[in-house]
Amino acid sequence: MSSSVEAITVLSSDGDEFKITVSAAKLSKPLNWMLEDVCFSDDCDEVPTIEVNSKTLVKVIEYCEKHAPRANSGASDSDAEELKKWDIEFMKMDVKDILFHILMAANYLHMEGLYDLACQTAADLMKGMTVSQIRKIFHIKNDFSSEEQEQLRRQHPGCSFD
Amino acid sequence: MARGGEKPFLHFDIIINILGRLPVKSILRFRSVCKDWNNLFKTQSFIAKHARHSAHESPFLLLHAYDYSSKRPSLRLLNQKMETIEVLSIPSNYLFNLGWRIIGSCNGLLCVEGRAFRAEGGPFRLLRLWNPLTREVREIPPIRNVRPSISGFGFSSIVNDYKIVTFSYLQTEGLNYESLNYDVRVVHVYSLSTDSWKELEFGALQKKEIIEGNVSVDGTMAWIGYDDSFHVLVTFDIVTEVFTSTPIPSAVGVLSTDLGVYQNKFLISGHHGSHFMDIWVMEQVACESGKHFSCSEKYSVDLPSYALDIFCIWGNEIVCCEEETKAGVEGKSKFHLKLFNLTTRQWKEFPNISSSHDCCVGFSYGGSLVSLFNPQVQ
Repeated sequence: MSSSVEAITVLSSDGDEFKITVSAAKLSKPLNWMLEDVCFSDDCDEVPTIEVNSKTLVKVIEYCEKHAPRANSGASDSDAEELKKWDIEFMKMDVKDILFHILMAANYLHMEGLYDLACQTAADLMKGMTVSQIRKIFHIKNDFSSEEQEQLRRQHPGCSFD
Repeated sequence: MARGGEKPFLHFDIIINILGRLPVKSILRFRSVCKDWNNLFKTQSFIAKHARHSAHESPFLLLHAYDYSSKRPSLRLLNQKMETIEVLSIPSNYLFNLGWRIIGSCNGLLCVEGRAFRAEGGPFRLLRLWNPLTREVREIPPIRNVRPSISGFGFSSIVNDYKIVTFSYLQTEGLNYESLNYDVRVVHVYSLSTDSWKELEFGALQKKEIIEGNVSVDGTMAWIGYDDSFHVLVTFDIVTEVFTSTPIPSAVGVLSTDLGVYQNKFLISGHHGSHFMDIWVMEQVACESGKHFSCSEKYSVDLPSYALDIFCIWGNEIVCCEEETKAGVEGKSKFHLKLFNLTTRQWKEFPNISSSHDCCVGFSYGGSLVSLFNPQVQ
């Protein structure tokens, strides 16, 4: 890799091109390996594809660019506090529409910080939900037979299947 | 990976990671979502992962407020914003006529001691383990012919067992006070995995008075002890069942002490009856003859008021409590919490956290699904 390269271009699974700075790409292990393996020098035409859709990739790159300076140099307590607030704002998104995609992308791209943040955000959103709301967002079918439901109700009075 | 337009389907390991961050109450509600989830919540690996997350990432402050008459105890969980997020229901058979106390809190389990007076047989004490969130209760069999005085509760991940240590006086015959022999102390350990007690050697504890109030880290229980006017840290290795005693250096003039756990180290606070307290950090050091403790740091902290009770260390903070008694009003104090942040060394105040009881105590508490009848946490 040429040291003059500051940003790389990647393709989303939808085929759109995105630019990401080298320091931000380093937050992801697979992207980091790509930086080392694939030639990103000026005379290389190959643009690698990342199996994440455009809508999600925009958010992932936004997160990387924001967190890269701190990850690379360390930060003061006030910076950490500011970043925490930014994370909360950043995570204000629809669960099914985008948060689950971010979770899958963070898992696939081995981005520990984003994965942790997205899991916690999902848990915080879920904790007040009803059983049927949970089934809806996770596409889960109630697979208890009526006998099993009855048994569970006997073991745990107040247990609800809705 | 899901492509644009497709409905996302999360891998089960991602779902497990999310579910491991939920409060116990939500997990219990989500048992009925589907069979996979219901089965997952019963696995030891999930229960252990959840307990670790809950104790380290988002522990609650458990406040136990009660009256001397023990009529209306209140037990509630507060979050970091000091909001009550759950009022715990107390099993009706917990209403011992002399009240009950929390001995220790570990992996979401509480060790409680009920005290009662019976017309026949006089006063007695009964130990129970309790998971207040799953409402499981397990009675600990009593030890024959002794009268327990001070107890401790802890867990070791090496042997996967919960143990209770009790210092008692020998009770020679009958069940009344006269038959107690205050000169003979005995020490017993109970193991949850075998559900039985055994007597231990005093070893390093000879001639030491143990002060009530126990804390534990994985593998070790600790108390403050007193030995010919010297304060010592008394530790019990849950695996080897051996006591150690470590002098607390330059604790001259200390009137009272409190013990807490911070980042797996024991923190001792000493009070001189003035506007500051000393803090000793006692760390475990490995040596040839096994485990030892030594003081790695000592500093002083200015106190915002004169009379503070120390409850516990909760996350990054020492939780202290100031009691305000109203002149002329019988009982019913107001309790104000004062939190000292160990990182920023700043105080924060939360006035009037409890106002309708005589007494108030607090513990750091991570709720868990740990079962008392199949209790391993790995």
